[in-house]
Amino acid sequence: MNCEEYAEDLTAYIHAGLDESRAAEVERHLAECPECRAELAAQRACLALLRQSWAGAQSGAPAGFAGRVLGRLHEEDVDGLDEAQGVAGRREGSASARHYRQLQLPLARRVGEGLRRSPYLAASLILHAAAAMIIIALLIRPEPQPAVITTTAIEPEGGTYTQDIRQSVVMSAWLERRGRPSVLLRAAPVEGGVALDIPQFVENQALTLVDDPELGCIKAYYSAEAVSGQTVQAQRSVVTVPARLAGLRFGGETLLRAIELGDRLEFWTERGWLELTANATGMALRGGQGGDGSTAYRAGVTGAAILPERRRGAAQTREFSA
Amino acid sequence: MADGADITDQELMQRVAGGDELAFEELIRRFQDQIFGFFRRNGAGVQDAEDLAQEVFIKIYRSSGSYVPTASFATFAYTVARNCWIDFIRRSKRRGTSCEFDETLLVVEENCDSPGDRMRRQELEREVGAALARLPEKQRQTLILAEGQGLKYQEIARIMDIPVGTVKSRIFSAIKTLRESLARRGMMPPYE
Repeated sequence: MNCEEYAEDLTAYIHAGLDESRAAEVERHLAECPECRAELAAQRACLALLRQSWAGAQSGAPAGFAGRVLGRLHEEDVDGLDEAQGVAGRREGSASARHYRQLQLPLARRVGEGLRRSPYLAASLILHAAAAMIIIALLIRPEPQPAVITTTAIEPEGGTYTQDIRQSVVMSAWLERRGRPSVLLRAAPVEGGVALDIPQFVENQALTLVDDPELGCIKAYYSAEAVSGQTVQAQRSVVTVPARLAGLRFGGETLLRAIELGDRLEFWTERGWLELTANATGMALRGGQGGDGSTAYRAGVTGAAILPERRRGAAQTREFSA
Repeated sequence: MADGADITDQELMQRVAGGDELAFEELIRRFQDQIFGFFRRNGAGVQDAEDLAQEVFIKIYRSSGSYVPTASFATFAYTVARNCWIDFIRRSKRRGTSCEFDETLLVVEENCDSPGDRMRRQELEREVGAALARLPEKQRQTLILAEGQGLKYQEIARIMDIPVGTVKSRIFSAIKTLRESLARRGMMPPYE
């Protein structure tokens, strides 16, 4: 065989697509043919470029993908497609169906829907947003220095730290829909620090900071349980804060872009946008769905870390009109 | 599911056929990145890739009752994915909307690269993406299944319903064309 006849086999050899005897034959030829060795190297280099070009693009499914598939499936169940296809069981009225439907709703609509269906769920969602914002603000603001969180967040050795958020942050969160505000939780100073006055339906909040020096980022995990009657819904938010304020994942939404504009941060997801305004004493959120800036709800958060004496209790609420 | 890792894909499909939603969720988790990545590498934007990947899993769910495990589940899933991609291209052409390769694949995820690194990476993605876009559709898909998805030639042959020899020649031709194209762009030595 001449070298041209080996060329096609070289590609298959790279992909382990030859049977053993043919692979051995190719290897024998390669050992004695510098031209084919060069050809093999060139093919490998070409494939390496191809892989490199793919490496930077998002090729993993976005967060919450499985939930959205199940949500879509249940939506179709409601339309009777499931039965027509002969798959066992209708699940349109099940709790999981409602849950999955909710997962695929845009962020802003989820909050509104949640409030309508269950104030506890809405409270939980807002709590997550509130905690995430506070975490972000605490991590990115050089001043003032929150006493506990900052200390752990900049720990140079890396590691995992857990901190009861009630000992670290003062905040209140509110949600307003159709002009009817609901205060979800309030902060109150207590002896030896500041604690959150949390309504009875929110329990077991915890904040965990994971310093990942390898990735150059800090991951903040916030978890809470919202209790409604005998039902306990455990939820968890994850906020990833890279060194450069971008590529964040925020409460299940993938952030495409984070823009810092003075005292304001804008977060753009595939489904909507959030704006966080932070200053020394408070922060507020507004958000909407789609790229046209239409706002579906108003929500606000007031927060402050346990600050030096002069700061303590100085939290202010800032509101933004939609 | 707690014991999900011990269950084969085929067993999960049997459970899905019986209406086991957790089994379906486990199946999605096992294959979501592969299927989503397949569409992205074929040139779909993030939103289109997600819609198409959802469509694939819905179709898998719908066909679970008639699924016969004659090959690996991955082969079955990619066959569904490939059909969805072909339908998508046809739909796009009928609508007159662009279904051209998204050369920028390429909402590049932000990371900690320096601006220079990022520019070089974006240039690489643009140039290689453009070269890939010019490949004939069948060659491109065959190459993506082999190189991007890491499938064996036999699996690709099943998915595309072609002989293994054709898989081999298509991939060789794809790489040859890609090399010529990249050489013209100065990204590889001249191809002789």
